[in-house]
Amino acid sequence: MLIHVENLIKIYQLGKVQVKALDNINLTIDRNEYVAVMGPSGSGKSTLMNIIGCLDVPTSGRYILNDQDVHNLTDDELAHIRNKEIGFVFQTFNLLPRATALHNVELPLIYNGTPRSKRREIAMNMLERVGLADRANHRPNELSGGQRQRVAIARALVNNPSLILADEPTGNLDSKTGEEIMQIFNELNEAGNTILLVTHEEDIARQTKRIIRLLDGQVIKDEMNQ
Amino acid sequence: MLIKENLQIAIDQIRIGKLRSFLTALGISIGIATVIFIVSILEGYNQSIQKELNVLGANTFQIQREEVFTGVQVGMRKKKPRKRLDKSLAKAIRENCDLVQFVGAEIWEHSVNVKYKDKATNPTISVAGVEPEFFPNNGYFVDQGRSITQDDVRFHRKVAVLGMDVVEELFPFEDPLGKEIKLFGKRFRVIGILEKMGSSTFGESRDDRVIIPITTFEDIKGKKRSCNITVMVRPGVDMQATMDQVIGVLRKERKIPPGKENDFSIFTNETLIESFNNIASKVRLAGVFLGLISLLVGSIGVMNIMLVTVTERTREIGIRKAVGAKRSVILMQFLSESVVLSSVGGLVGMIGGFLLAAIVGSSLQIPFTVPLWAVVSSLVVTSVVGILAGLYPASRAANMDPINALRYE
Ligand SMILES: Nc1ncnc2c1ncn2[C@@H]1O[C@H](COP(=O)(O)OP(=O)(O)O)[C@@H](O)[C@H]1O
Ligand SMILES: [Mg+2]
Repeated sequence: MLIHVENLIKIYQLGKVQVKALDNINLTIDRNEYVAVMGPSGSGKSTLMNIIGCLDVPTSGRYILNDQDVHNLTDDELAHIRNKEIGFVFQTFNLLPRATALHNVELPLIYNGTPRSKRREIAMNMLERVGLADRANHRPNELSGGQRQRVAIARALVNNPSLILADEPTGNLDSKTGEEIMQIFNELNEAGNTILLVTHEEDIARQTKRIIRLLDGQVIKDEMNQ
Repeated sequence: MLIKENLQIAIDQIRIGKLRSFLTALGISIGIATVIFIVSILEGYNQSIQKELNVLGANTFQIQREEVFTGVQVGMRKKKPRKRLDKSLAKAIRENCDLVQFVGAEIWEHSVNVKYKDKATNPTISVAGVEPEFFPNNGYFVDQGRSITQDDVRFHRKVAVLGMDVVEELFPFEDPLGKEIKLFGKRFRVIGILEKMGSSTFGESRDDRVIIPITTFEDIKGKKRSCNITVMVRPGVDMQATMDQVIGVLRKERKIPPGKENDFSIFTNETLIESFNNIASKVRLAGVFLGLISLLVGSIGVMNIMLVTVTERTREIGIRKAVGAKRSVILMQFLSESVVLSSVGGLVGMIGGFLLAAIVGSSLQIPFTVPLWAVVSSLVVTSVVGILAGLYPASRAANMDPINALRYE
């Protein structure tokens, strides 16, 4: 059991209006699973991802990651978990615009104190793995959308995390490029990585092994994919 | 902790916004430049003054109406105008003070044009109307011809002794002795030439002078001007005792009631140094104060630009936090940036200040010095300014919520 979520509630306070983004979510995800989170826009997919990724905290409920209760951890402890245990892939890539592809991939290693030379080596290996070794010194604006997302995936993998979280990773890509990115995720899962990805495309979801459907912040369906 | 990375980020950031960084750091630069300039110039003055103060001859003091350096006195009080010193006072001293070797009155007129045939002095020179004692008391020596004599004074002769600058300008190819020059619209016969003297401590040349009898001077320019009186002490006699004797005579002549302040000032080379040091420390204080104000303005600029930077780079902060940057790391990143920015400003200001001091100093003919303590304290001060100005913006960056930062548009 990698992820265990119990009675998770997230409420946003917008002035006097309360928005219940997550309404009593219960989930368990094991190692090596390949899960798609689906649902219409505004159903709470990103909110769930951000809480699982320790970027955000729930209003109430329990979240256990890797046998550790995430509740009551300090900001720095959460940063440590994000660095060691989680690799993020965002819809909008979220790369540092002025840094090279290599430096972007190195970033998580910088923050856990990996020595410079070792850092270079690991980051280069990761870029090679996503087929971008020859673009190491390019900046994001010199790369195509698909290439940027590969850099982001390389960055997500660089610390060998227990969990890869991808929030609509193909949302900004054309379908052919999106398919290539999915190919990488499929291979990563084959290789033993646990992947949780948000999508609203059935085609994408069908490539995973389990589909969780959300509506208005609640899980309405949670089934294995045939 | 990630010092290399943070410095790299800071330098990149400054390079990206060159103009912005320059303008921000300018306040710091100006502040540091002001302090460095003033400190360096004063230090140079101080060195040259200790080495050779040659305003007066040895064993000599001068009496004049106003305080020396009065123009730059800080916190100067408005006083009621003092009575002029007349040359008759020199006579009174000569007759009543047995401790005095020589006493002579002199009157100065500056920015005067002297002509010979179709040539005129350019720039202008200074003219002194003097009594014969002027020469020994001020350390002036006649090289060729003769000096001003008692008879020249008594008979109001139109005769002149020239400094070397004047000779070189008006008589490049001729012997000036016996020639007639034109001064104050009157003809004067050249009777002597002074030895070349070079510059005084205050950078002025002492060779651009024309010396004439004091009576002739007063015939032409009137008697409104106040004289300076120079006094040489008899060999082996105490300077202070002589001064006391002279002061007594002057107070009696000028009818100053007991208990009232002297309405004239007396200085020697030593008291001149003392009052210079007094002024110098006030100027230094004023310079440091101005510099601090400029630094304050500069640090507000740095703080402002750091706040702007933090806001502009909210997403970057979000990304760094998402991949595991701790608060202290983000704090250090922006603090480094602020310190680098203000240190670069300080460094530029320091170089600028020293350059200015070197240029101004060389035209004042004082030695150029780089006081180490000024360098070190400038660097310390700019670093501290950088830390203080960066602390609030950096802690804002460090305290950002990662998810809000990532969502920031
Ligand atoms: N920072 C926020 N402040 C207020 N409301 C929010 C915020 N983030 C999300 N929401 C609201 O929470 C709900 C779920 O949002 P989200 O998780 O982004 O949905 P999805 O990713 O499924 O489109 C939406 O109604 C959205 O408007
Ligand atoms: Mg979303």
